Amino acid sequence: MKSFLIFIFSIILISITPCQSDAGESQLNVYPEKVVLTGRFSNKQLIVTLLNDSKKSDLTHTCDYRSLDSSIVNVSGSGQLTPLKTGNTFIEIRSQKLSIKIPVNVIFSDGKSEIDFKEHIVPIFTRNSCNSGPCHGKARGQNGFQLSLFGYDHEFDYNSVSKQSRSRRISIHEPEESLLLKKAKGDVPHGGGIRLTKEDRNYQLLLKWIEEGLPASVPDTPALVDIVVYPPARIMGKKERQQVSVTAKFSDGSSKDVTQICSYQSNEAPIASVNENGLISAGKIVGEAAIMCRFQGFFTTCHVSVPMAGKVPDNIYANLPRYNFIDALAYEKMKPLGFVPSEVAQPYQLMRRAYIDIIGRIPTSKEARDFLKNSDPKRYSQLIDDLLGRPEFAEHWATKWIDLLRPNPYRVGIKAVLNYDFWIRDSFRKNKPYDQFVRELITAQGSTFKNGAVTMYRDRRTPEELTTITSQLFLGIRLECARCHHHPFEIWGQDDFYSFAAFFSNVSYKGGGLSPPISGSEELVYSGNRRKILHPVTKEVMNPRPLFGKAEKVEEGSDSRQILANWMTSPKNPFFSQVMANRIWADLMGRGIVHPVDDLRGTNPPTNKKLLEALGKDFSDHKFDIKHLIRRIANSYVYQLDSLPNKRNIVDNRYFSRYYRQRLKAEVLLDSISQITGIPESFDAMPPETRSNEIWTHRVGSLFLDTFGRPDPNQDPPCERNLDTTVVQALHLMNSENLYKKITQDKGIANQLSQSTKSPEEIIEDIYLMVYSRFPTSAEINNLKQLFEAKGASRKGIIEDIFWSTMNTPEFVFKD
Amino acid sequence: MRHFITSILFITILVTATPRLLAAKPVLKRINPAGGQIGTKVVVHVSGAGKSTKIWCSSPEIKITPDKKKGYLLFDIPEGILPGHCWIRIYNDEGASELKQFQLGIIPEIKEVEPNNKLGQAQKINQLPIIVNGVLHKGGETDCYSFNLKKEQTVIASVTANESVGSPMDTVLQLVSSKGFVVEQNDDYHGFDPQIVFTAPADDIYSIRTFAFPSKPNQTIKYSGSFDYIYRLLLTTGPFLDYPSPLNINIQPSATTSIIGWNIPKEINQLPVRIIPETNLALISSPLLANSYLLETVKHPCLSENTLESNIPQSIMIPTSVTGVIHKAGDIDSYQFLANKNQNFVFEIQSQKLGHPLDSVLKLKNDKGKVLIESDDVSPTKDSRIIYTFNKSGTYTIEVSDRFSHGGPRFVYLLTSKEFQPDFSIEVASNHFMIPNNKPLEIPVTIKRDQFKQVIKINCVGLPKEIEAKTVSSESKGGSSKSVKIVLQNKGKNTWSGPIQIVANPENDSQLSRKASASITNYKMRTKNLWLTALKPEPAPVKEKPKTK
Repeated sequence: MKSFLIFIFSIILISITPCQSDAGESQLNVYPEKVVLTGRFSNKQLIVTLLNDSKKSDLTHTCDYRSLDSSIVNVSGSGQLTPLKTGNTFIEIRSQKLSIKIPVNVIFSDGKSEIDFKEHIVPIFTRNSCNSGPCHGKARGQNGFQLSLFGYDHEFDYNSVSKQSRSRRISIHEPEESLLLKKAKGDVPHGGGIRLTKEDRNYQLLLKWIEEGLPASVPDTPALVDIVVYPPARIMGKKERQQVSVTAKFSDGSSKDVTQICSYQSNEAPIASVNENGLISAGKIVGEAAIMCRFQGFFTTCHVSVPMAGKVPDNIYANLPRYNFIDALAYEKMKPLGFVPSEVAQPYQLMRRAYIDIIGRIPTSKEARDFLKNSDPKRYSQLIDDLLGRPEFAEHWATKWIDLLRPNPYRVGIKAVLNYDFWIRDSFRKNKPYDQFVRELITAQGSTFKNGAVTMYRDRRTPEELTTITSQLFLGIRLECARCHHHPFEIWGQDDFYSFAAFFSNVSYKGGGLSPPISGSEELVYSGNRRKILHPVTKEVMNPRPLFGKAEKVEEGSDSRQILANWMTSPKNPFFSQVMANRIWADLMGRGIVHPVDDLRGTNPPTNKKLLEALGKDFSDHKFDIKHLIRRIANSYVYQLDSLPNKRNIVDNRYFSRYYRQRLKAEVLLDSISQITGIPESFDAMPPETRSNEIWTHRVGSLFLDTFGRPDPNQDPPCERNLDTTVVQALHLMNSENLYKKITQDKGIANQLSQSTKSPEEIIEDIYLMVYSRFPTSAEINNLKQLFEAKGASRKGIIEDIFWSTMNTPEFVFKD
Repeated sequence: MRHFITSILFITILVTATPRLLAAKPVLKRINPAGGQIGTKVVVHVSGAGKSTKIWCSSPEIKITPDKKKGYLLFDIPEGILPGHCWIRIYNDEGASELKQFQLGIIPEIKEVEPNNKLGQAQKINQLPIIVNGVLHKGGETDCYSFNLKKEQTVIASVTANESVGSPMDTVLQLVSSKGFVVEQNDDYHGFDPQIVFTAPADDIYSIRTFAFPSKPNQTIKYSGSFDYIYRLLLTTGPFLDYPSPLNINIQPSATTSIIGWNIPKEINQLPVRIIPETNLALISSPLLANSYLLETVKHPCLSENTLESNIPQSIMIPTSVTGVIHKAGDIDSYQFLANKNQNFVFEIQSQKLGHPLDSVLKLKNDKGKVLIESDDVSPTKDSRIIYTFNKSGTYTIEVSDRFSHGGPRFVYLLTSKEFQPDFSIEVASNHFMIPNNKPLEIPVTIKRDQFKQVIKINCVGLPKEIEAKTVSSESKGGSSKSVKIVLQNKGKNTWSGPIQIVANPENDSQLSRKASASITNYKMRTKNLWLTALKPEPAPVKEKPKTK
C-alpha cells in the first residue's frame, strides 16, 4: 500500500512537471511523456529530443537509458521499451548533465490470447517483405507459397499459411519445427534468406501464435483506423539523425506502438534516408524528403527538411519582389531551406522564354528587335497578353494534350484519330474552359466519325481501362496498382478502383468495332444499360462511388458519367484543379511542384503544398481558364528568374529559386529551325509547309522529331515527353542533311542575306536576333566579322556557317 | 501444208472474232467536271466514251454532242431544267456501264487551276458564289482556294464528292487564315462530304484547303488521290439553304415553305415550292440561293413543331407530318394523339436520311407514361420507325430524342404519323443486265413485304417486241413471296440496248405499282433506271457430216 501511494505521488509529481529537464538553456524532451504497455507483445519507442536555443537535436540513440525496475520493463540502448510483467516503474534518461524520468505502466492480461492474425501476424510478413512484389506477394507467389501483396487480404493469407498444401507450413504439435519458422530463420534453404532470428520478438510472436493454435482473430479486436508518426516534421542538419515513433490508433480508442513493424521509405533518399527501424539519416544534399511510414494499408509521413548551412538575413526575403501570390509562397518555401533566388533574367531571355512557352517557337528577328527596342516598362506583360491571343497558342498547347490522349491510328482507325486531333485543337482554338473540356471528354457520346472526343472510348473499351487513364490525367491519381491489389504507396484499394470503374459501366457501343491495322469502320458510343462491375475478390457488385468526398446519386437509366464529370470537375475537387495547375506549372517552370506531374499522393508530396493549393484555387476561381493561369505564372517574379545559380541556390532543383533550363521540345526546335532558315518542313500526311505542332499523329514520319524525344507511335497514351539530352541529338544537329539543306537552299534566308546589301555587322546582328533573340556583343561581332574579311571568303558560305554553328549551341537548343 | 492450212484457219477465226473481243463493255469511271450550271454549255470528259459508245442521259433535255476537243463531249444544259442532277450511262453493243451522276447547278462554275497545292499558290476566287470543279489527282495532294472575307461575313464551303459525284474519296476541308492557321475544319457533313460555315471575326484573306483519304479505309495515313477523286466545291457568302421547314409539303397549288440556312434575307425566308409533275417531289429554288432543295409532297397535313410551349406535348391528329428540332442536348420532343382500339399506326423518323445529324430514338408511351415500344435504328440509316397496333383506345404520346442526348439547330427531323398500310418493294442486284448470245437471262427479283399479303405480278417494261419476258407471280407465302426470277430472251436477230424497268403490281390493286430499285456502284442511293443489253443471237454452228468409208 505504501509503495503504491509513493508511486501515485510520483506520478502526480511528474504529471505536473513538464517532462523535460533543464541545464541552463538546454532541455530534454521525451515523447511520450508516459507509457502504458498492454500485452506481452507490446512495445514503445521513445523519442528523446534536446532543445537548445530553439534548435532541436535527436538524442534517442545517443543518450543513456535505465529501467528503475528491469523486472517490469526493459529498455534498449535505442530507447525501445519491452514489457516483462505487470507493474509500474520509471525509465530514467540521461544525456551529459541532463536527465529525466518517465513513468511506465505494464498491464498483462492473463490467460487470454492476445494474438490476432490480421493485427499481429500479417504485419510481420509486411515488415520482413515476405508479402512484397518480388517474393510471396506476387501474383503466382513464390515456390508455391502465395501471400496477398502487402497483406491486403488477410483471409487469403490465413488460409495460405494455415491450410494450403495440407497445412504443411505449420506444425501444431511441434511449433518450432513449423516450416514457416524454419524458413524464416534459415534452418532450411530459403530463397528469401534469413528474415528472423530466434531472439526476434516477431519470431516469438509467430511461435506463440502457432502454440496457441493459429487463432484467426481475437474476438472484439478493434479495427485499425489510423497511424501517426512522431515527429511529423523535422528540420535536420546535414548528416543528422532522427528516430521516428509510429503509433497505430484503433476504433476503441486504444493505440499501439508499431515502430518496429512498420515499413519505411524515403521519396528522396539522397536528401534523407530511413532504415528499417525508422531511423532517419540526413544526407549532404539540401532539400526536403517525405519519409513514408506504412502499416497495414495505412500511411503517414514525416516531412524532413535539410536546409543550407548558414543564415540568410530576413530582410533579403522581405525585399524580394512580389508580383503576385506565387512569389510570396515560393519565398515562404525557400526561406527555411536557406535558398536565395537568382537575379532576374535579361529581357531577351524573358522574351524568348515567353515565346517558347506560350506559342511554341522562338521570336523572329523582327519580333525580337521590336521588343528589345521597346522602352515601355510594361512591355513584358503586354507581350504575355499578345502571345496568349495568337493562334499559335492553340496548336502548341493542343500538342501537349494530344500526347496524353491520342491513340495509335492503326488501332482505332485513321479517321477516328484525325477527328480526335481536330476536337482537341478546336478546344484550344476556342479557349474552351478546362472543366468543360474534361466534361465533354468524360461524357462523350456519338460517332467516331463526327465527335472526336468519343475516340477515347474507342481506344479504352473497358471500365477498368477508362478508370486508369481518367484518374491519372484528370485527378493525378494513379490507380493501376489498385486494380489487382491494394496500392502499395497510397490509400487506394480494389474497392476504390472498381467503384470508380462502375461510373463507366453504362458505356455501350454500336457499329463497327476495332479491326486493326485498319479499323476503318464507324463506331457509335452511347449511354446504355448498366453492366455489373464485380469486385474481383469478393464478387460484390460495385456501385459508382467517387474516390473521395461525395457525388450525386446515380439515378436508374441515367448516364453515370455525368455524375462522375460533375464530381471530377467541381471547384471543390482539389485534385482536379491542382493536377492541371501542376502540369502548366511544369511546362513553364521546367518541373512540377509535384513530380511526376500526374502523381499526386500523400507519399509523393508537393515541394510547395501551399503554392500548389493556391494555384489550383486560382485556376478554379477563374473558371478553369488555361490562359489565365499561364498569364498568372508568366507574370510572377519567380518565372522571370535567371537560370544562372548563385551560391545559395546552386543545389536547388525543385524550389524554383532559379529558372531551370530545358532542352527545347522536338516540335519547338524544328519549327524554330524552319523559321530561322526560311525553309518550311514537309511531312507526309500533312499539307505542304505545315508546322510540326500541327501534326495529327505521331505516325507521320520525322527523324528529327523522333530524335528529339517525340513519343513512340506504338506507345499507348498518355505519353509524357522525354526531355533528356542525348549524344544522338547533338550528332543529328551537327550532321543532319535536312538541316544542311535548309540552311543552304537558294530560297532560304541565308542566301537572301548573302544577296542583300547588308553589311557583315548587320548580317551578324540579324542572325543573332533570329537564333538567340538578342543583339550580339561587340566581341561577338568582331570575331565573326573577321571571317567576312578573310581573303577568299565566300559571303554565302560564311553566313551559312554562322547559321549552322549558332544552331548547334546550347543557347539555341535550350530554353534559358 | 497441213500446218499452213491450220494457221490460216486460226488467223481467220481470230480476225472474225476480234471485233467482238476488242469491243468490250464500256466502263464509265468518271465524269469531269462532275456538273455544270444550268443555261450553259460545258465541255466534259466522260471516261470510257468514244466512237464506239453512245451516251444516255436521264434528262433528255440535255443535248450531248462530241466536242471539238478530242475525247470530250459538249453538254448543252438548257435553261428551265430542274436543278439537282441527272444520270449518265454509256453503252455499246456489248453492254452498258455503271451510272454516274452529273450535277446541275444554279450558280456559276469554274475549273480548278493547278498548281494550287500550297497556300501561297492558292487559286484566287474573285467572285462568289461559285462552284469549283476540281480533282485531287494524285496521292498527297492538297488543293487550295483563296478569297476575301469581311468582318462578320459568313461563308459556306460545301463539298460534293462522295455522296453525289460518287468519287471514292473521304474529303476533309480546312479553312485557313492568311497567316496559315486552321480556323475551322470538317470531315463529314453529308456522308463523307464536308461543309464549313464560318463567320469572319475580322477582314482577312482566307483559304479553303482540301485533301482526302480513300472512302474505303486502308492502312496508310498519307493523303490519297487519283483522277477519280473528282469534287465540286461550292463557295458562297450569299444565301445558302440548309433545309426547309416543314421538311415535306402538302400538295397545294401555291404552297410555300420557310427556308432555314445561312445569309437568308427576309425577302426569301418564305419561298413557293414548285411541284414536279409525275413525281412526289417539289422543288425549292430561287435565283438568290446558291443551292436548291427537293422535298417530298404528301397528301396529309405538314406541321412544324410548336416551340412556344416546349414542356407540354404537342397535340397532333394522325395522319400528319411534323418537322421538329432537338434544339439542345437532352431535349425530348413529345407529341400527343388519340388512337382507337385496333388501329395500326406507323411512326417514322427521317433525319439522317435527309442529311441531318440526329440519331433518333422513338418511344411510344401510353397515358400513364409507360413505354410500349421503342425504336432506335432501322437499317440502313439511323432513323427510327415504329409500327404499333393499339389494343386500347386512348391518348398516347410519341417521343423523339437523340440517342446520344445531343442537340442543336441542325438536329432536325421529320416525324410522319399515319395509318399503317401494308406495302412492298422490289429490288434487283444490278442496274444493268445483259442477255447473252443464245441464252435466256434470269434476273432474280427480291420482294420485301411490309406485312403485304397479296399476290404480286412482276414484269419487265420498256422492252422491244423481239425480247420476251414472261410475267411472274410472287405469292404471299412460300419461296416466291421473297424472291422470283424474270426470264428474258432475245428472239430477234439484232443486238438491242436500252433502258428498262421492272415493275410490280399487286394482283388486286393496279394502282399500287412499284418499280425495282438497284444499287449503284460508289453511291449509297439506289436507282430505278435499269438497263438491258441483248446480244445478237449467233447462228447455230454447222454440223460436220460424218466421213463415209
